Amino acid sequence: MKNVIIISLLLSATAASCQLHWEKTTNWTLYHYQGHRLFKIPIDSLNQYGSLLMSQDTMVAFLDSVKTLHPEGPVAWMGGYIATCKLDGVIRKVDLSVYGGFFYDEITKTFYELPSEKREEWLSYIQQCYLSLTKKTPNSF
Amino acid sequence: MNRPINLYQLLLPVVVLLCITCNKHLSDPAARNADLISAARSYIDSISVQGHPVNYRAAQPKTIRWDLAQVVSIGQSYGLSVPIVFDNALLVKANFVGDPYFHLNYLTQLLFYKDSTGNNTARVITAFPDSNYFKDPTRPFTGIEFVEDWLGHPIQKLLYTPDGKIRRYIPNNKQPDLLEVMQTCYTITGYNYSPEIDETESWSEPAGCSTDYIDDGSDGGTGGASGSAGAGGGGGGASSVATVTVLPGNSVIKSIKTYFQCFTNVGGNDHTYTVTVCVDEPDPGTRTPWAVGQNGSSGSSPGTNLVDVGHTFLILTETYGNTTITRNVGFYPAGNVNPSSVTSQGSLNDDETHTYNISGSFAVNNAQFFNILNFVGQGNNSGYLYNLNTNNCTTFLINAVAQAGINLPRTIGTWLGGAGNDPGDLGEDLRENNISGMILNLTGGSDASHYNVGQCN
Repeated sequence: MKNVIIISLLLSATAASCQLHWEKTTNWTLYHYQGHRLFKIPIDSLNQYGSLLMSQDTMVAFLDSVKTLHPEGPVAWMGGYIATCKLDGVIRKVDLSVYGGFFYDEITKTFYELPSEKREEWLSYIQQCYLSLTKKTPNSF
Repeated sequence: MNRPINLYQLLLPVVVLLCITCNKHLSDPAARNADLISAARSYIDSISVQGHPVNYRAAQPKTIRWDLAQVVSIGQSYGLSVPIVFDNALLVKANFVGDPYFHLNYLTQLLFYKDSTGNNTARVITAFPDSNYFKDPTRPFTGIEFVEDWLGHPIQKLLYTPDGKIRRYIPNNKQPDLLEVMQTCYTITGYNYSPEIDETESWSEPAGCSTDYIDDGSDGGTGGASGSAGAGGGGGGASSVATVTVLPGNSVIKSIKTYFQCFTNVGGNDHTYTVTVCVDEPDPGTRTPWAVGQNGSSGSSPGTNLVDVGHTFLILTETYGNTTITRNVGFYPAGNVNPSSVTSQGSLNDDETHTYNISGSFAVNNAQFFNILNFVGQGNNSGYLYNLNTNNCTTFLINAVAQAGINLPRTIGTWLGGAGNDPGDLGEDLRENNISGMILNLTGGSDASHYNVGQCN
């Protein structure tokens, strides 16, 4: 019994150490691309697209309670945005869904989701950032 | 919360730190005002094309309300204080306020003046009230003000405390440009500088406030560029005291009634109405109902964890005279769905940046148009469910336009673990069937080709 407890604790610790700390990510950047090639575009080719550095404070506020999503089947993708961020010195490509408040980390090939109470704000924030990329800022004088 | 803050009062101490020693005097106030506005407009025109906005707020479409410009005393001269109104409603909240949201329109002003060397200067002043001010807006303002140049480069942040003091936020990461700005300000303003240092930050404290504007001489304000693309918070890295979250937009349409309220229900020929069915096929040009995540050259792929099902949405347009109102709307699940978990609360989203590869447009009358609006309006109702098989985005759209007598084909596609209407089949149905009254568009639309048009929220 004692061994079982020890092994369980070790497994828990190992799992915890693998958990990504999204709240520690920096340099969130959104790219001007939409389409079905989203997952095919390699990270080193993203510099050909327009980009916008997203608010560090805002992203951290959104990502401080992200949880791993364990879907029962393949998640239905209805469109999304390409972003990158930096975590522990590594630039990661992350695909942000236009619905549902979830995103896909291409390094770990894992989905993560925001708590339901943050999803509307998250989606609106991302869309507004994307609008900033697509719209020239007009000054209506 | 909805009470506008008197920003003119706020501007006085702000520009205590923005000194002016211009001796130009114009005897005729009307001529002076006209000259100032003319100079300000020309200056804003010129600097707007000299760079790119560096933060989210600065990048937003906005209107400078020159018609509401007020002349303010700046040192021995005059400047302009002009309200800035954002074209899209920008709601913000701050961690020093609590839960309330407020409109940036109430908080943002342009200050235009000539600095001590005679150079035109534009500052965007954004005042975020704190929870004390929210509780009692009749008291003097307390909160944090961001002072930025037109493109959003931070100049400084000021803290208005309940004891009537004004403190300047100083990031404690030692960036030379920031220090330069800080020391310039300190030297020129001549305030006693007594920093209060706590664990993460320090503030400079002016000895007092006068009602005159004082130039800090730090034109340009390139300091704090790191991380400045954010929503205004920070500027000091980990020592940031003010986290501001911008919560604008309609990506998730919280009130469909408000979202549609621009539309007017008018019969006759003066008002024309169009509904466009937009289809983003998962494999454009084919009936494929879903596409598995494809392996990219980077090896980065969601593989079979994800299926691209595409999307279908509506563009609704009313036109009369020189006015056009356009709204994009699509039906989504509020949470993620998959063939094993097919339902979720329904959610109406603004799809104005969603690309599509094929569409069909129909001219309808006002009654038909409003029948569609009424049907779509239920998409956000509590308990109204999205179902990947029986009430997905395509089903919802087909049912919506049916309210106007537009009967689209209801081809059923199948996928692993499910079946239902799907964008692939609907798109090809539009292409292959000569649907009565439909104008077919085979070139689709980009993420920037079908923005919402018309402000009435």
